[in-house]
Amino acid sequence: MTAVLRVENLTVDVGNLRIVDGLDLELRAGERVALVGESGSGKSMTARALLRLDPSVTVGGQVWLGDRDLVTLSEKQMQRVRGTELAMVFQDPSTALNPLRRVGDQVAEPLRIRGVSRRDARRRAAEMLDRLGVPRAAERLNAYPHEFSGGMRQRVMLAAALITGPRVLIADEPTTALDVRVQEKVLALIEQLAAEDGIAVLLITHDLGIVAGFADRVAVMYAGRKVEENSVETFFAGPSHPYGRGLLNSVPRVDRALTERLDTIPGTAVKPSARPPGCSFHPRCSAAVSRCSAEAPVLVTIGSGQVACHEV
Amino acid sequence: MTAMTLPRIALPRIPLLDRLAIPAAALFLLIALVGPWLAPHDPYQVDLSQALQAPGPGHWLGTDAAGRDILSRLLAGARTTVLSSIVVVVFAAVVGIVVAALAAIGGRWADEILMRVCDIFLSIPGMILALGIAAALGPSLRSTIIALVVALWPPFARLVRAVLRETMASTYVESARVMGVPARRLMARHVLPNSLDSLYVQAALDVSGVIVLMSGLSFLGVGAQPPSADWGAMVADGREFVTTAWWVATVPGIAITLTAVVFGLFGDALRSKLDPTLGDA
Repeated sequence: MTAVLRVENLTVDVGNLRIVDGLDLELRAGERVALVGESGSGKSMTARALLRLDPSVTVGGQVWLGDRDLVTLSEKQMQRVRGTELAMVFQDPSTALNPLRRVGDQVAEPLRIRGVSRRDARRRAAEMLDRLGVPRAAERLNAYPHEFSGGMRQRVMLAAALITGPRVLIADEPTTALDVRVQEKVLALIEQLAAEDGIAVLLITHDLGIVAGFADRVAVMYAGRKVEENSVETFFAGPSHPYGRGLLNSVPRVDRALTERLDTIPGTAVKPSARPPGCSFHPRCSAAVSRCSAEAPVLVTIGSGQVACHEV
Repeated sequence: MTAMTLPRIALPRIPLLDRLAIPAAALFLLIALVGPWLAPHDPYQVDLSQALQAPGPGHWLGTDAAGRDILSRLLAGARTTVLSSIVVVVFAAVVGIVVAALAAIGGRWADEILMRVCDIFLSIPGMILALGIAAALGPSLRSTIIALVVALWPPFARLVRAVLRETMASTYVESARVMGVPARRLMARHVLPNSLDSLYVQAALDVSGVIVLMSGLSFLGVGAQPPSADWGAMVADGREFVTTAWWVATVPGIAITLTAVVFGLFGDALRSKLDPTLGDA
């Protein structure tokens, strides 16, 4: 299948700082890809750069959505892409809805600004909310966000993001602010709608539990670079990059004794202003050899995945 | 020397004042609206035989040098003073909002230019600026209003710009932007409606300041012209009799002070109602 979104050599610079350094990523229709990494690894900046949300940030490389390179579009053209072809939902549903506007108006807004009549937009908003399992959707259009629970608000956000039938949905930690049971429901909904409408989903998260249950493919970012990409099965069977291994070992597991100490990755995440030479991960890596501090590893294809490490 | 922590002085909260301020402001507003009909005498009726009567049963607050009833003139003047102050604040706020919104959506250059223009206006004391403009336009109530609007919009623009920037950084504005909402609609539907709370407070507080400024301008002779009953002009008229007929200048002076205080307290009361972090509830 062909890719709906193809990111080639993406760079993101804030001032002189390179936050994302040469990222390649591909999303096919209906595919769910997780982008994982710890705070500061550049995963959220990647998402924002795809939509070109920060005017003060320099985005380089190419972002192909169909046959258009989003990096070269003007702000006006970009505005038409946002919300129609490329949608995004944010982390905290409690702050992502305008407190002064009715829920129905907010869900219908992407249609309204594109010239759909008020009546049609409202009808489609009600349908969308209904598909997302908001009870009595048609009546609830007139409610305000504070009348909704966190999980319901996230459904409202999703309805507003999906109402225009986008090809790609970027979900930046969409369930972090929700409790675990609601998380599961919301993820199941995203999965169901994406499958029904053939939407590609890019899930940004640091929760490997969510990745295991949701994604088809995983890309691991460290210090602005992709260090590994694999299918979920291969990744959880045993990641090939020491960083991926470290991440996986620091997740609590039910099949280990409670008395056992949780593994940690020594040290702290690298700041983009103080990236070590060679492999960015080598100061924290247990498998590091002398070559790691001198030469940055390139991504090599192993099986169906890719890994950037000298030691594999 | 070691750093000292200053003792924190807690301002006493007087809930009674808060509670009284809103009805009191409403009362003053009502008087401003219906004042002329409450006047016991014709405020413009000159009667030299009644000149400079002390407050008493016939004229509760006395008469001025032309024998006009001061209470009646106060009531008639309430309209010019209070209502035009409100007009000034409304116009200044509207200009401020427009400038701030343009600065916020116009990008870095528009912001820079508009804010520097603001700085220029702010660098001139409001009273002096208003005095100059009012004098240049020719003394009248209308030129006072124009002059005060010109002098007063910059603080509003500053305030609104700061609040707008804060609102623009909120997640719901960002998510509206992600849905492709264009800048102008973003401003009108999402940013402005969520930014106006602090503006109401500032506007209410400003009414009180404008009442004083306005009276000051007419005291200096660039405001409403005689014989119209204007509080500032009334104080000016009474100046020469201060030693012999104190009430001519004092009574309108007290009216100005009282009105300014009432609207000031009203602004404070509004703030404690609108700002959840200040409430004592």
